[in-house]
Amino acid sequence: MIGTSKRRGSAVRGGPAVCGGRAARAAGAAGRTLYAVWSRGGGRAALIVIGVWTAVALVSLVWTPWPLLATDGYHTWQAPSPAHPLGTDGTGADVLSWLMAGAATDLAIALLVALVAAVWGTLLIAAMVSRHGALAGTAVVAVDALISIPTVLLALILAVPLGASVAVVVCACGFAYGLNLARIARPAALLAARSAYVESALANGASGMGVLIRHILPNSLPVIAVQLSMSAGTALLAEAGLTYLGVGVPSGVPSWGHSLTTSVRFVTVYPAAVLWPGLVVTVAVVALNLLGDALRDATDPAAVGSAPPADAVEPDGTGEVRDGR
Amino acid sequence: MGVEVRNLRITLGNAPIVRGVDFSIGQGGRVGLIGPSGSGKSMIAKALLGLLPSGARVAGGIAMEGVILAGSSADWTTGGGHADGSSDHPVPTLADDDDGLLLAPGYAVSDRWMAGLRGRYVGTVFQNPAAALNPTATVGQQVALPLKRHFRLSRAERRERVERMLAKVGLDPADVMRRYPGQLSGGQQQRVGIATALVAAPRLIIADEPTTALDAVTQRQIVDLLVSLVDDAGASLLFITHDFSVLARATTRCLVLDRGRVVESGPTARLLAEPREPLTRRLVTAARTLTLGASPGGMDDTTDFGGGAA
Repeated sequence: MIGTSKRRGSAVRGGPAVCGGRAARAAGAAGRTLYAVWSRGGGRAALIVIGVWTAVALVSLVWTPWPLLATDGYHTWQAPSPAHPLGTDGTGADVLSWLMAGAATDLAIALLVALVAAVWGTLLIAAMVSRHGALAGTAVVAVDALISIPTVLLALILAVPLGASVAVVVCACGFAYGLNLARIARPAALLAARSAYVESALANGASGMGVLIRHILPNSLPVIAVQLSMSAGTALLAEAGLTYLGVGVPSGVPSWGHSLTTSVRFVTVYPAAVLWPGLVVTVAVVALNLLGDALRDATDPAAVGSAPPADAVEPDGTGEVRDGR
Repeated sequence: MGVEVRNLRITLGNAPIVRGVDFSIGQGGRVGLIGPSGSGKSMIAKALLGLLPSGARVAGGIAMEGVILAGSSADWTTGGGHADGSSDHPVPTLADDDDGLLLAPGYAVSDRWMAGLRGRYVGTVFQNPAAALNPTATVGQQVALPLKRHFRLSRAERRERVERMLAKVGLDPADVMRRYPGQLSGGQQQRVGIATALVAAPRLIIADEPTTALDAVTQRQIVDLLVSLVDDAGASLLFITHDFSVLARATTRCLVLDRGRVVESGPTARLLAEPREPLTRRLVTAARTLTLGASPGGMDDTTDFGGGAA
């Protein structure tokens, strides 16, 4: 879900054009889903935040207000000023520049964790709802057993061969969140797998893989979408935590967790220094959770089936949004 | 497609569901399976499709167009003789020179082989169209499924065949192709179900209570549509229901099933006119009462029984 947020960010600009005519009907399923997310208050806020986040991450790759390594021993822990809008940190480096550069790292972590969790979780779901009883039973037991391993412990173990790195965060979180995804999406997937439409598809020639891709996953998508976007948000928190423990992003690589780690020790002396990275992480996590909620509503088969496409372009939804804001 | 079922027995766990059923459907034949709930009708259909639930065990013989799908040599040499109706339609023995692939008796074909059969040689129409259509797929995607699975067609060719099939079942392709099942009425949904079952021109159509979830008027339209399409295609039909009034329109011969056994079989018209077994009599009476009760001017419907079956 998060894997497509970059595309979403750009398609947002296509949104107003779409709502003008009947083009929404002609647009593909992804476009319709995006539009449905955009027409919900929480979804629109989430898309704006994620769009800004993506834009900042891209800009930071070529430009930041100050070079990251421009330290200044005479001006540490500065309050915000025209030269340093968010002040400076303990080395005198520009906080805004580091947060901008961290946006790129954390966007990559969120996307990669969601991707790994999606692939790993989907494999587990496929095994759990398999028509082969032995495979399904084994998968259920395996997920229940593996889910008891704490993410932090996993990261500490992975850090032995890998050292402190982004890979540790992605592997540990992707593995753990994939298990969570499988366990949480299993009831919905099982319901779809045992449904009359799957039986009907099988009777009309669908293969096991085809049933999984075209019938079971789309009908479990509301649950999967919420879980994946929440996983992406949780991955940001995990990145901060693991970096603080010294097994996450290595020192020298900008990340929001890194900015938090370097300032949190001085929270009693310079509380404002913790404020900015904390605020950025919080806003990003909230945006991802809101995106999850909006995606759940947008991908709900009941809504897809019963509401005519014309409803999506009626001012109903947008009016509601304006009232809500 | 000729279908022959010999001494079919299905057990689910330790409970026998089907206890020795014999029947055959000739090329272009329309045969009904009727019986109360739990008589094993749907299990027979699932056995024909190779889609029995895990934990179900099947014994006996099933052959389609001379291809033995399941069964041991004993089932093919001793003959049927379990159902009293088998004398009406002697089960033809399988000759070595029969068309199609003749597998060694006792050989159960693989899942993959059965999957190749489903949708291509056997099409299935299901009971509750609202539940049997994937809510997240458009009508065009649903109907295209058997074509995608079994034929190498370009997008345009596939689209054209889907549109032609939708027109045949009385839907406007331009209108419904992009719609989702939830946006259609029950009758329209079942027309989509029929289009899906028939789009790959299968030789056998299994209709598992296709009209049970529909109102009386729609029921009649759907049955007439199904029968005319099956006849046009020259396919065989196995029609499963608990409602004689529908069966009369759809089939020429039928078997009455009770707790896994065939209790009576013969031409549908005769069963309606002079049912011998108590169960058959009950089902016929129920159909007449329901039909008369449903429509005050329903005398036509009762005369239709004989007319439709003749």
